[in-house]
Amino acid sequence: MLDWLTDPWTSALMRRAFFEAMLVGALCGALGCFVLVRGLAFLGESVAHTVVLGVVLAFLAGVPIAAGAAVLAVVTVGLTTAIGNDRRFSADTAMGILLPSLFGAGVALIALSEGYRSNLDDVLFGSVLAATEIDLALALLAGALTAVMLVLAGKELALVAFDRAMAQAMGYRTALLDLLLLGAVALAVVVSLRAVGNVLLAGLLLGPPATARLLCQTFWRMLACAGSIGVAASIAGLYLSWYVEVGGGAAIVLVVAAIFIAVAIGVRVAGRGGASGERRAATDFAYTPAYESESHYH
Amino acid sequence: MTSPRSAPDRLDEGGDQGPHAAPATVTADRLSVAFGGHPALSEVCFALTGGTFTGVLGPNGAGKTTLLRALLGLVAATGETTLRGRAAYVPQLAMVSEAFPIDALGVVIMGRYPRLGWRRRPGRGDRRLAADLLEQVGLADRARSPFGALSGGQRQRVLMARALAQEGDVLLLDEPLTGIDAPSQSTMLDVIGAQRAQGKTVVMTTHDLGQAARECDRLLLLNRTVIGDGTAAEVLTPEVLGRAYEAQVVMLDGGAALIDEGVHHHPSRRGAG
Repeated sequence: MLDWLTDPWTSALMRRAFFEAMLVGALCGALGCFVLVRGLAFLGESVAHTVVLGVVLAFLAGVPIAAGAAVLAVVTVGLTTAIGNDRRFSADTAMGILLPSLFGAGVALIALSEGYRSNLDDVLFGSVLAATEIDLALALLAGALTAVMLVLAGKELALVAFDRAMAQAMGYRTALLDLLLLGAVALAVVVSLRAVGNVLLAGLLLGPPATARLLCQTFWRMLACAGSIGVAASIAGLYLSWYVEVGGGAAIVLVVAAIFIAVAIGVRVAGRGGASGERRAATDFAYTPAYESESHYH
Repeated sequence: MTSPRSAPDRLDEGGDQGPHAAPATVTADRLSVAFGGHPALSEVCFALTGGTFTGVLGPNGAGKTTLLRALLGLVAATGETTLRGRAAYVPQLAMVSEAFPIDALGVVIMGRYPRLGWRRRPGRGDRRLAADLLEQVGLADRARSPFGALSGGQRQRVLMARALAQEGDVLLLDEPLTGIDAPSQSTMLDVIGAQRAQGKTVVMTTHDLGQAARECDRLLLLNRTVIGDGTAAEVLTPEVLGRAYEAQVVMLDGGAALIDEGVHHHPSRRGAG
Protein backbone atom coordinates (compact mmCIF):
# COMPACT_ATOMS: atom_id res chain seq x y z
CA MET A 1 0.00 0.00 0.00
CA LEU A 2 2.91 2.28 0.70
CA ASP A 3 4.78 0.83 -2.23
CA TRP A 4 4.83 4.18 -3.94
CA LEU A 5 6.86 5.52 -1.00
CA THR A 6 9.40 2.71 -0.89
CA ASP A 7 9.60 2.08 -4.61
CA PRO A 8 12.23 4.70 -5.47
CA TRP A 9 14.48 3.47 -2.64
CA THR A 10 14.77 0.00 -4.20
CA SER A 11 17.13 1.37 -6.83
CA ALA A 12 20.76 1.76 -5.70
CA LEU A 13 21.11 4.67 -8.08
CA MET A 14 18.15 6.44 -6.49
CA ARG A 15 19.38 5.75 -2.95
CA ARG A 16 22.64 7.47 -3.73
CA ALA A 17 20.76 10.29 -5.43
CA PHE A 18 18.59 10.74 -2.32
CA PHE A 19 21.61 11.04 -0.04
CA GLU A 20 23.41 13.38 -2.40
CA ALA A 21 20.37 15.63 -2.81
CA MET A 22 19.59 15.70 0.93
CA LEU A 23 23.16 16.67 1.79
CA VAL A 24 23.25 19.37 -0.84
CA GLY A 25 19.79 20.61 0.16
CA ALA A 26 20.79 20.99 3.81
CA LEU A 27 24.12 22.62 2.93
CA CYS A 28 22.67 25.10 0.44
CA GLY A 29 19.74 25.91 2.72
CA ALA A 30 21.96 26.69 5.70
CA LEU A 31 24.66 28.65 3.88
CA GLY A 32 22.05 30.37 1.73
CA CYS A 33 20.83 32.09 4.91
CA PHE A 34 24.14 33.94 5.12
CA VAL A 35 23.97 34.70 1.40
CA LEU A 36 20.46 36.12 1.90
CA VAL A 37 21.11 38.30 4.96
CA ARG A 38 24.39 39.58 3.52
CA GLY A 39 22.71 40.53 0.24
CA LEU A 40 25.07 38.28 -1.73
CA ALA A 41 22.42 36.57 -3.87
CA PHE A 42 23.88 37.74 -7.15
CA LEU A 43 27.37 36.69 -6.07
CA GLY A 44 26.12 33.16 -5.36
CA GLU A 45 24.44 33.05 -8.76
CA SER A 46 27.58 34.46 -10.35
CA VAL A 47 29.92 31.88 -8.77
CA ALA A 48 27.55 29.06 -9.72
CA HIS A 49 28.08 29.97 -13.37
CA THR A 50 31.74 30.90 -13.51
CA VAL A 51 32.87 27.65 -11.85
CA VAL A 52 31.80 25.87 -15.05
CA LEU A 53 34.94 27.22 -16.68
CA GLY A 54 36.96 25.79 -13.80
CA VAL A 55 35.28 22.41 -14.15
CA VAL A 56 36.10 22.19 -17.85
CA LEU A 57 39.66 23.48 -17.44
CA ALA A 58 40.29 20.99 -14.64
CA PHE A 59 38.96 18.16 -16.78
CA LEU A 60 41.17 19.14 -19.72
CA ALA A 61 44.21 19.53 -17.43
CA GLY A 62 43.53 16.21 -15.75
CA VAL A 63 43.30 17.62 -12.21
CA PRO A 64 40.39 17.09 -9.79
CA ILE A 65 37.30 18.95 -11.00
CA ALA A 66 36.57 20.38 -7.53
CA ALA A 67 40.00 22.05 -7.50
CA GLY A 68 39.33 23.78 -10.81
CA ALA A 69 35.91 24.93 -9.64
CA ALA A 70 37.36 26.24 -6.39
CA VAL A 71 40.00 28.25 -8.26
CA LEU A 72 37.35 29.88 -10.46
CA ALA A 73 35.21 30.62 -7.39
CA VAL A 74 38.14 32.44 -5.79
CA VAL A 75 38.91 34.27 -9.07
CA THR A 76 35.27 35.37 -9.35
CA VAL A 77 35.11 36.67 -5.79
CA GLY A 78 38.51 38.39 -6.15
CA LEU A 79 37.70 40.09 -9.45
CA THR A 80 34.25 41.12 -8.20
CA THR A 81 35.85 42.76 -5.18
CA ALA A 82 38.56 44.41 -7.29
CA ILE A 83 36.13 45.87 -9.85
CA GLY A 84 33.54 46.71 -7.19
CA ASN A 85 36.15 48.70 -5.26
CA ASP A 86 36.32 51.16 -8.14
CA ARG A 87 33.91 53.90 -7.10
CA ARG A 88 32.54 54.21 -10.61
CA PHE A 89 31.11 50.66 -10.57
CA SER A 90 28.98 48.63 -8.18
CA ALA A 91 29.63 44.98 -7.37
CA ASP A 92 26.53 44.18 -9.44
CA THR A 93 28.20 45.66 -12.50
CA ALA A 94 31.32 43.62 -11.84
CA MET A 95 29.29 40.42 -11.66
CA GLY A 96 27.28 41.41 -14.71
CA ILE A 97 30.52 41.47 -16.66
CA LEU A 98 32.20 38.45 -15.07
CA LEU A 99 29.26 36.01 -15.05
CA PRO A 100 28.58 35.91 -18.81
CA SER A 101 32.20 36.19 -19.90
CA LEU A 102 33.62 33.43 -17.69
CA PHE A 103 30.54 31.24 -18.13
CA GLY A 104 30.65 31.86 -21.87
CA ALA A 105 34.29 30.78 -21.95
CA GLY A 106 33.32 27.60 -20.14
CA VAL A 107 30.48 26.80 -22.56
CA ALA A 108 32.75 27.51 -25.54
CA LEU A 109 35.42 25.18 -24.17
CA ILE A 110 32.87 22.41 -23.68
CA ALA A 111 31.80 22.79 -27.31
CA LEU A 112 35.41 22.71 -28.52
CA SER A 113 36.67 19.80 -26.43
CA GLU A 114 35.35 16.53 -27.78
CA GLY A 115 36.90 14.57 -24.94
CA TYR A 116 34.71 16.17 -22.31
CA ARG A 117 32.48 13.30 -21.35
CA SER A 118 29.86 15.21 -19.42
CA ASN A 119 27.45 16.89 -21.77
CA LEU A 120 26.36 20.50 -21.47
CA ASP A 121 22.93 19.60 -20.11
CA ASP A 122 24.50 17.92 -17.08
CA VAL A 123 26.53 21.02 -16.29
CA LEU A 124 23.54 23.31 -16.68
CA PHE A 125 20.84 21.26 -14.99
CA GLY A 126 22.67 18.65 -12.93
CA SER A 127 22.39 14.88 -13.06
CA VAL A 128 21.79 13.70 -9.55
CA LEU A 129 21.22 10.11 -10.70
CA ALA A 130 24.81 10.06 -11.94
CA ALA A 131 26.17 10.95 -8.48
CA THR A 132 29.20 8.82 -7.67
CA GLU A 133 30.66 7.72 -4.34
CA ILE A 134 33.19 10.52 -4.78
CA ASP A 135 30.45 13.12 -5.25
CA LEU A 136 28.80 11.85 -2.11
CA ALA A 137 32.06 11.94 -0.16
CA LEU A 138 32.76 15.51 -1.33
CA ALA A 139 29.28 16.66 -0.26
CA LEU A 140 29.79 14.99 3.13
CA LEU A 141 33.16 16.69 3.52
CA ALA A 142 31.71 20.10 2.61
CA GLY A 143 28.88 19.54 5.08
CA ALA A 144 31.30 18.59 7.86
CA LEU A 145 33.56 21.59 7.20
CA THR A 146 30.55 23.91 7.19
CA ALA A 147 29.29 22.43 10.45
CA VAL A 148 32.70 22.98 12.05
CA MET A 149 32.73 26.57 10.79
CA LEU A 150 29.27 27.25 12.21
CA VAL A 151 30.18 25.78 15.61
CA LEU A 152 33.43 27.75 15.85
CA ALA A 153 32.46 31.07 14.27
CA GLY A 154 28.72 30.99 13.61
CA LYS A 155 27.82 33.74 16.04
CA GLU A 156 30.67 35.93 14.81
CA LEU A 157 29.56 35.46 11.18
CA ALA A 158 26.03 36.43 12.21
CA LEU A 159 27.35 39.52 14.02
CA VAL A 160 29.21 40.66 10.89
CA ALA A 161 26.03 40.21 8.84
CA PHE A 162 23.98 42.21 11.33
CA ASP A 163 26.36 45.01 12.26
CA ARG A 164 29.74 45.14 10.57
CA ALA A 165 30.85 48.38 12.27
CA MET A 166 30.22 46.83 15.68
CA ALA A 167 32.08 43.65 14.79
CA GLN A 168 35.09 45.73 13.78
CA ALA A 169 34.88 47.83 16.92
CA MET A 170 34.86 44.63 18.98
CA GLY A 171 38.14 43.67 17.36
CA TYR A 172 36.96 40.96 14.97
CA ARG A 173 38.86 40.58 11.71
CA THR A 174 35.86 41.05 9.46
CA ALA A 175 37.82 40.61 6.23
CA LEU A 176 38.94 37.15 7.38
CA LEU A 177 35.41 36.23 8.41
CA ASP A 178 34.17 37.36 4.97
CA LEU A 179 36.78 35.17 3.31
CA LEU A 180 35.75 32.20 5.45
CA LEU A 181 32.08 32.66 4.52
CA LEU A 182 32.77 33.13 0.82
CA GLY A 183 35.01 30.06 0.84
CA ALA A 184 32.24 27.99 2.42
CA VAL A 185 29.66 29.28 -0.09
CA ALA A 186 32.03 28.55 -3.00
CA LEU A 187 32.58 25.03 -1.68
CA ALA A 188 28.84 24.47 -1.32
CA VAL A 189 28.29 25.69 -4.88
CA VAL A 190 30.96 23.36 -6.24
CA VAL A 191 29.64 20.22 -4.53
CA SER A 192 26.05 21.11 -5.46
CA LEU A 193 26.66 21.28 -9.21
CA ARG A 194 26.28 17.52 -9.56
CA ALA A 195 22.82 17.53 -8.03
CA VAL A 196 21.17 20.61 -9.50
CA GLY A 197 23.55 22.12 -12.08
CA ASN A 198 24.53 25.75 -12.20
CA VAL A 199 21.39 27.24 -13.75
CA LEU A 200 19.12 25.79 -11.06
CA LEU A 201 21.51 26.17 -8.15
CA ALA A 202 20.38 29.68 -7.17
CA GLY A 203 16.91 28.24 -6.52
CA LEU A 204 18.26 25.80 -3.94
CA LEU A 205 20.65 28.38 -2.44
CA LEU A 206 18.05 31.16 -2.01
CA GLY A 207 14.59 29.54 -2.06
CA PRO A 208 14.75 27.71 1.29
CA PRO A 209 16.31 30.70 3.14
CA ALA A 210 13.72 33.09 1.68
CA THR A 211 10.95 30.74 2.80
CA ALA A 212 12.53 30.38 6.24
CA ARG A 213 12.79 34.17 6.57
CA LEU A 214 9.01 34.36 6.20
CA LEU A 215 8.57 31.91 9.05
CA CYS A 216 11.38 32.74 11.50
CA GLN A 217 12.41 35.81 13.44
CA THR A 218 15.78 34.73 14.73
CA PHE A 219 18.74 33.77 12.60
CA TRP A 220 19.45 30.34 14.11
CA ARG A 221 15.86 29.25 13.65
CA MET A 222 15.98 30.52 10.10
CA LEU A 223 19.14 28.47 9.52
CA ALA A 224 17.59 25.27 10.88
CA CYS A 225 14.33 25.91 9.03
CA ALA A 226 16.07 26.58 5.69
CA GLY A 227 18.23 23.46 6.04
CA SER A 228 15.11 21.38 6.74
CA ILE A 229 13.26 22.86 3.78
CA GLY A 230 16.29 22.08 1.60
CA VAL A 231 16.24 18.44 2.70
CA ALA A 232 12.46 18.11 2.38
CA ALA A 233 12.43 19.67 -1.08
CA SER A 234 15.23 17.36 -2.19
CA ILE A 235 13.32 14.27 -1.10
CA ALA A 236 10.01 15.44 -2.56
CA GLY A 237 11.75 16.54 -5.74
CA LEU A 238 13.30 13.12 -6.30
CA TYR A 239 9.93 11.41 -5.81
CA LEU A 240 8.49 13.80 -8.36
CA SER A 241 11.37 13.05 -10.68
CA TRP A 242 10.84 9.29 -10.25
CA TYR A 243 7.13 9.31 -11.03
CA VAL A 244 6.81 12.15 -13.51
CA GLU A 245 10.15 11.45 -15.17
CA VAL A 246 11.58 14.94 -15.13
CA GLY A 247 15.16 15.84 -14.26
CA GLY A 248 16.03 15.60 -10.56
CA GLY A 249 17.49 19.10 -10.33
CA ALA A 250 14.51 20.71 -12.02
CA ALA A 251 12.05 18.77 -9.83
CA ILE A 252 13.86 19.77 -6.62
CA VAL A 253 13.93 23.47 -7.54
CA LEU A 254 10.26 23.32 -8.56
CA VAL A 255 9.35 21.91 -5.15
CA VAL A 256 11.43 24.67 -3.48
CA ALA A 257 9.48 27.28 -5.45
CA ALA A 258 6.15 25.64 -4.61
CA ILE A 259 6.98 25.64 -0.89
CA PHE A 260 7.97 29.30 -1.05
CA ILE A 261 4.74 30.30 -2.82
CA ALA A 262 2.59 28.25 -0.44
CA VAL A 263 4.29 29.74 2.64
CA ALA A 264 4.17 33.29 1.27
CA ILE A 265 0.43 32.97 0.63
CA GLY A 266 -0.15 31.18 3.93
CA VAL A 267 1.66 33.85 5.94
CA ARG A 268 -0.25 36.59 4.19
CA VAL A 269 -3.61 34.90 4.65
CA ALA A 270 -2.86 34.20 8.31
CA GLY A 271 -2.16 37.92 8.55
CA ARG A 272 0.60 37.63 11.07
CA GLY A 273 3.93 35.99 11.65
CA GLY A 274 7.27 36.30 9.94
CA ALA A 275 8.02 39.17 7.64
CA SER A 276 4.45 40.37 7.22
CA GLY A 277 4.15 40.59 11.00
CA GLU A 278 7.36 42.62 11.09
CA ARG A 279 6.04 44.93 8.42
CA ARG A 280 2.88 45.55 10.39
CA ALA A 281 4.65 45.80 13.70
CA ALA A 282 6.51 48.88 12.52
CA THR A 283 3.23 50.77 12.79
CA ASP A 284 1.35 48.59 15.26
CA PHE A 285 2.76 49.38 18.66
CA ALA A 286 0.88 46.63 20.50
CA TYR A 287 2.29 43.80 18.40
CA THR A 288 3.96 41.01 20.35
CA PRO A 289 4.98 37.74 18.70
CA ALA A 290 3.29 35.16 20.90
CA TYR A 291 4.93 32.23 19.17
CA GLU A 292 8.46 33.38 20.01
CA SER A 293 8.25 32.77 23.71
CA GLU A 294 10.75 30.10 24.68
CA SER A 295 14.45 30.83 24.77
CA HIS A 296 16.51 29.58 21.89
CA TYR A 297 19.92 31.17 21.98
CA HIS A 298 22.64 28.75 21.06
CA MET B 1 38.47 38.45 31.18
CA THR B 2 35.15 37.51 32.73
CA SER B 3 34.75 39.96 35.58
CA PRO B 4 33.96 43.55 34.72
CA ARG B 5 36.53 46.14 35.60
CA SER B 6 35.59 48.04 38.70
CA ALA B 7 34.75 51.65 38.06
CA PRO B 8 37.48 54.06 39.09
CA ASP B 9 36.97 55.85 42.39
CA ARG B 10 35.16 59.12 42.29
CA LEU B 11 37.37 61.89 41.08
CA ASP B 12 38.81 64.42 43.52
CA GLU B 13 36.43 64.65 46.46
CA GLY B 14 34.29 67.63 47.18
CA GLY B 15 35.67 70.33 44.99
CA ASP B 16 34.86 71.53 41.60
CA GLN B 17 35.72 68.58 39.34
CA GLY B 18 38.00 70.25 36.84
CA PRO B 19 38.34 68.09 33.74
CA HIS B 20 42.13 68.22 34.02
CA ALA B 21 42.37 67.11 37.65
CA ALA B 22 42.07 63.34 37.12
CA PRO B 23 44.30 61.15 34.93
CA ALA B 24 43.18 61.03 31.32
CA THR B 25 41.34 57.93 30.04
CA VAL B 26 41.09 58.92 26.38
CA THR B 27 43.72 61.02 24.65
CA ALA B 28 44.65 62.05 21.15
CA ASP B 29 47.98 63.66 20.38
CA ARG B 30 48.48 65.11 16.91
CA LEU B 31 46.05 62.51 15.54
CA SER B 32 45.78 62.68 11.75
CA VAL B 33 43.79 60.52 9.35
CA ALA B 34 43.68 60.72 5.56
CA PHE B 35 41.47 58.85 3.10
CA GLY B 36 43.00 58.53 -0.36
CA GLY B 37 45.21 61.58 0.12
CA HIS B 38 42.38 63.74 1.46
CA PRO B 39 42.80 64.74 5.10
CA ALA B 40 39.85 63.71 7.27
CA LEU B 41 41.46 64.70 10.56
CA SER B 42 44.64 66.62 11.13
CA GLU B 43 46.66 67.24 14.28
CA VAL B 44 43.79 66.55 16.66
CA CYS B 45 44.78 66.86 20.33
CA PHE B 46 42.68 66.42 23.48
CA ALA B 47 42.58 64.52 26.75
CA LEU B 48 39.39 63.26 28.42
CA THR B 49 38.96 61.98 31.96
CA GLY B 50 36.70 59.41 33.59
CA GLY B 51 33.29 60.50 34.83
CA THR B 52 32.80 63.03 32.07
CA PHE B 53 30.38 63.34 29.16
CA THR B 54 31.91 64.96 26.08
CA GLY B 55 29.97 66.11 23.02
CA VAL B 56 31.80 66.06 19.69
CA LEU B 57 30.29 68.69 17.40
CA GLY B 58 30.94 69.91 13.90
CA PRO B 59 29.49 70.14 10.40
CA ASN B 60 28.96 67.16 8.09
CA GLY B 61 32.31 65.78 6.99
CA ALA B 62 34.08 67.34 9.98
CA GLY B 63 35.51 63.94 10.93
CA LYS B 64 33.33 63.15 13.94
CA THR B 65 32.73 59.49 13.07
CA THR B 66 36.33 59.16 11.88
CA LEU B 67 37.52 60.41 15.27
CA LEU B 68 35.56 57.65 17.06
CA ARG B 69 36.84 55.04 14.61
CA ALA B 70 40.40 56.28 15.06
CA LEU B 71 40.05 55.98 18.85
CA LEU B 72 38.89 52.38 18.32
CA GLY B 73 41.88 51.73 16.10
CA LEU B 74 39.77 51.00 13.02
CA VAL B 75 41.35 53.49 10.62
CA ALA B 76 44.98 54.02 9.73
CA ALA B 77 46.13 57.10 11.61
CA THR B 78 49.31 58.97 12.48
CA GLY B 79 49.96 60.53 15.85
CA GLU B 80 49.04 58.96 19.17
CA THR B 81 45.80 57.84 20.72
CA THR B 82 45.32 56.15 24.05
CA LEU B 83 42.19 54.54 25.42
CA ARG B 84 42.43 53.17 28.93
CA GLY B 85 40.27 50.16 29.67
CA ARG B 86 37.70 48.54 27.45
CA ALA B 87 35.80 50.52 24.82
CA ALA B 88 32.10 50.05 24.11
CA TYR B 89 30.72 51.43 20.88
CA VAL B 90 27.33 52.44 19.51
CA PRO B 91 27.51 52.83 15.72
CA GLN B 92 25.15 55.07 13.81
CA LEU B 93 21.72 53.49 13.65
CA ALA B 94 21.73 53.62 9.86
CA MET B 95 24.74 51.27 9.79
CA VAL B 96 22.82 48.43 11.43
CA SER B 97 20.78 45.99 9.32
CA GLU B 98 17.02 46.14 9.82
CA ALA B 99 16.41 43.09 7.64
CA PHE B 100 18.48 40.66 9.73
CA PRO B 101 16.26 38.27 11.70
CA ILE B 102 17.01 38.90 15.36
CA ASP B 103 15.03 40.05 18.39
CA ALA B 104 15.94 42.86 20.78
CA LEU B 105 17.34 40.49 23.41
CA GLY B 106 19.53 38.80 20.81
CA VAL B 107 21.02 42.15 19.81
CA VAL B 108 21.93 42.97 23.41
CA ILE B 109 23.47 39.52 23.89
CA MET B 110 25.80 40.27 20.96
CA GLY B 111 27.55 42.73 23.28
CA ARG B 112 28.80 39.68 25.22
CA TYR B 113 30.47 37.95 22.24
CA PRO B 114 34.03 39.26 22.76
CA ARG B 115 33.99 37.91 26.32
CA LEU B 116 32.71 34.52 25.20
CA GLY B 117 35.42 33.82 22.67
CA TRP B 118 35.01 31.84 19.50
CA ARG B 119 33.36 28.59 20.43
CA ARG B 120 31.36 29.41 23.55
CA ARG B 121 27.71 30.36 23.30
CA PRO B 122 25.88 32.91 25.45
CA GLY B 123 24.71 31.36 28.70
CA ARG B 124 22.03 32.01 31.28
CA GLY B 125 24.08 34.78 32.91
CA ASP B 126 24.50 36.61 29.62
CA ARG B 127 20.77 36.36 28.93
CA ARG B 128 19.88 37.65 32.38
CA LEU B 129 22.28 40.59 32.07
CA ALA B 130 20.87 41.42 28.64
CA ALA B 131 17.30 41.33 29.98
CA ASP B 132 18.30 43.64 32.86
CA LEU B 133 19.89 46.08 30.43
CA LEU B 134 16.79 46.09 28.22
CA GLU B 135 14.82 47.00 31.34
CA GLN B 136 17.27 49.86 32.04
CA VAL B 137 16.52 51.34 28.62
CA GLY B 138 12.77 50.85 29.14
CA LEU B 139 12.30 47.97 26.72
CA ALA B 140 11.73 45.00 29.03
CA ASP B 141 8.46 44.22 27.26
CA ARG B 142 10.08 44.27 23.81
CA ALA B 143 12.75 41.61 24.44
CA ARG B 144 11.21 39.20 21.93
CA SER B 145 10.21 41.79 19.34
CA PRO B 146 12.05 41.68 16.02
CA PHE B 147 14.72 44.39 15.97
CA GLY B 148 13.57 45.57 12.54
CA ALA B 149 10.02 46.07 13.81
CA LEU B 150 11.03 48.52 16.55
CA SER B 151 10.86 52.28 16.09
CA GLY B 152 14.08 54.23 15.47
CA GLY B 153 14.23 55.39 19.08
CA GLN B 154 13.66 51.87 20.37
CA ARG B 155 16.35 50.44 18.08
CA GLN B 156 18.77 53.09 19.30
CA ARG B 157 18.01 52.16 22.92
CA VAL B 158 18.62 48.48 22.12
CA LEU B 159 22.03 49.39 20.67
CA MET B 160 22.76 51.37 23.83
CA ALA B 161 21.88 48.33 25.94
CA ARG B 162 24.22 46.25 23.76
CA ALA B 163 27.04 48.73 24.41
CA LEU B 164 26.36 48.47 28.16
CA ALA B 165 26.54 44.66 27.84
CA GLN B 166 30.17 45.13 26.82
CA GLU B 167 30.81 46.59 30.30
CA GLY B 168 33.30 49.03 28.89
CA ASP B 169 35.12 51.85 30.67
CA VAL B 170 34.84 54.18 27.70
CA LEU B 171 31.55 54.62 25.79
CA LEU B 172 31.87 55.92 22.25
CA LEU B 173 28.45 56.87 20.85
CA ASP B 174 28.00 57.90 17.22
CA GLU B 175 24.98 60.21 16.94
CA PRO B 176 22.92 58.28 19.48
CA LEU B 177 20.29 61.03 19.73
CA THR B 178 19.90 61.94 16.06
CA GLY B 179 16.46 61.43 14.58
CA ILE B 180 14.87 59.63 17.54
CA ASP B 181 11.76 60.49 19.53
CA ALA B 182 11.86 62.68 22.65
CA PRO B 183 11.11 59.93 25.22
CA SER B 184 13.90 57.78 23.75
CA GLN B 185 16.29 60.74 23.90
CA SER B 186 15.50 61.32 27.53
CA THR B 187 15.99 57.61 28.37
CA MET B 188 19.33 57.62 26.54
CA LEU B 189 20.45 60.73 28.44
CA ASP B 190 19.44 59.12 31.75
CA VAL B 191 21.51 56.03 30.93
CA ILE B 192 24.48 58.18 29.91
CA GLY B 193 24.17 60.14 33.16
CA ALA B 194 24.25 56.91 35.16
CA GLN B 195 27.35 55.73 33.30
CA ARG B 196 29.10 59.05 33.92
CA ALA B 197 28.24 58.81 37.61
CA GLN B 198 29.95 55.39 37.67
CA GLY B 199 33.15 57.03 36.45
CA LYS B 200 32.84 55.98 32.81
CA THR B 201 34.14 58.23 30.06
CA VAL B 202 31.32 59.01 27.63
CA VAL B 203 31.96 60.53 24.19
CA MET B 204 29.05 61.32 21.87
CA THR B 205 28.95 62.85 18.40
CA THR B 206 25.95 65.07 17.68
CA HIS B 207 24.60 67.78 15.42
CA ASP B 208 22.41 69.33 18.11
CA LEU B 209 24.40 72.23 19.60
CA GLY B 210 21.67 73.26 22.04
CA GLN B 211 21.22 69.77 23.44
CA ALA B 212 24.98 69.23 23.67
CA ALA B 213 25.31 72.54 25.54
CA ARG B 214 22.65 71.44 28.05
CA GLU B 215 23.76 67.86 28.59
CA CYS B 216 27.53 67.60 28.10
CA ASP B 217 30.29 68.60 30.52
CA ARG B 218 32.56 69.44 27.71
CA LEU B 219 32.30 70.19 24.02
CA LEU B 220 34.82 69.38 21.32
CA LEU B 221 34.10 71.40 18.21
CA LEU B 222 35.63 69.73 15.19
CA ASN B 223 36.21 70.62 11.59
CA ARG B 224 38.99 68.25 10.56
CA THR B 225 40.93 69.66 13.47
CA VAL B 226 39.91 70.89 16.92
CA ILE B 227 38.33 74.34 16.54
CA GLY B 228 37.04 74.63 20.08
CA ASP B 229 37.48 72.60 23.27
CA GLY B 230 35.92 73.46 26.60
CA THR B 231 32.60 74.25 28.26
CA ALA B 232 29.56 75.37 26.28
CA ALA B 233 30.22 78.98 27.29
CA GLU B 234 33.75 78.77 25.91
CA VAL B 235 32.97 76.91 22.70
CA LEU B 236 29.53 78.10 21.60
CA THR B 237 30.45 81.64 20.73
CA PRO B 238 29.65 83.14 17.31
CA GLU B 239 33.34 83.55 16.64
CA VAL B 240 34.34 79.92 17.35
CA LEU B 241 31.21 78.47 15.71
CA GLY B 242 31.74 80.62 12.64
CA ARG B 243 35.20 79.17 12.23
CA ALA B 244 33.92 75.60 12.57
CA TYR B 245 30.91 75.85 10.32
CA GLU B 246 32.32 78.37 7.86
CA ALA B 247 28.82 79.83 7.85
CA GLN B 248 26.70 82.58 9.29
CA VAL B 249 26.03 82.08 12.99
CA VAL B 250 23.31 83.94 14.87
CA MET B 251 23.21 83.56 18.64
CA LEU B 252 19.71 83.38 20.07
CA ASP B 253 18.57 84.07 23.63
CA GLY B 254 19.67 81.43 26.09
CA GLY B 255 22.81 80.50 24.19
CA ALA B 256 21.19 78.67 21.29
CA ALA B 257 22.87 79.11 17.95
CA LEU B 258 21.27 79.33 14.54
CA ILE B 259 23.59 78.20 11.83
CA ASP B 260 22.82 78.95 8.21
CA GLU B 261 23.50 75.49 6.87
CA GLY B 262 20.07 74.01 7.10
CA VAL B 263 20.83 70.30 6.83
CA HIS B 264 21.47 69.24 10.40
CA HIS B 265 18.04 69.36 11.92
CA HIS B 266 15.21 66.96 11.18
CA PRO B 267 12.24 68.34 13.10
CA SER B 268 9.80 66.12 11.22
CA ARG B 269 11.52 62.99 12.54
CA ARG B 270 11.47 64.17 16.12
CA GLY B 271 7.80 63.74 16.88
CA ALA B 272 6.80 62.24 20.20
CA GLY B 273 6.84 58.44 20.15
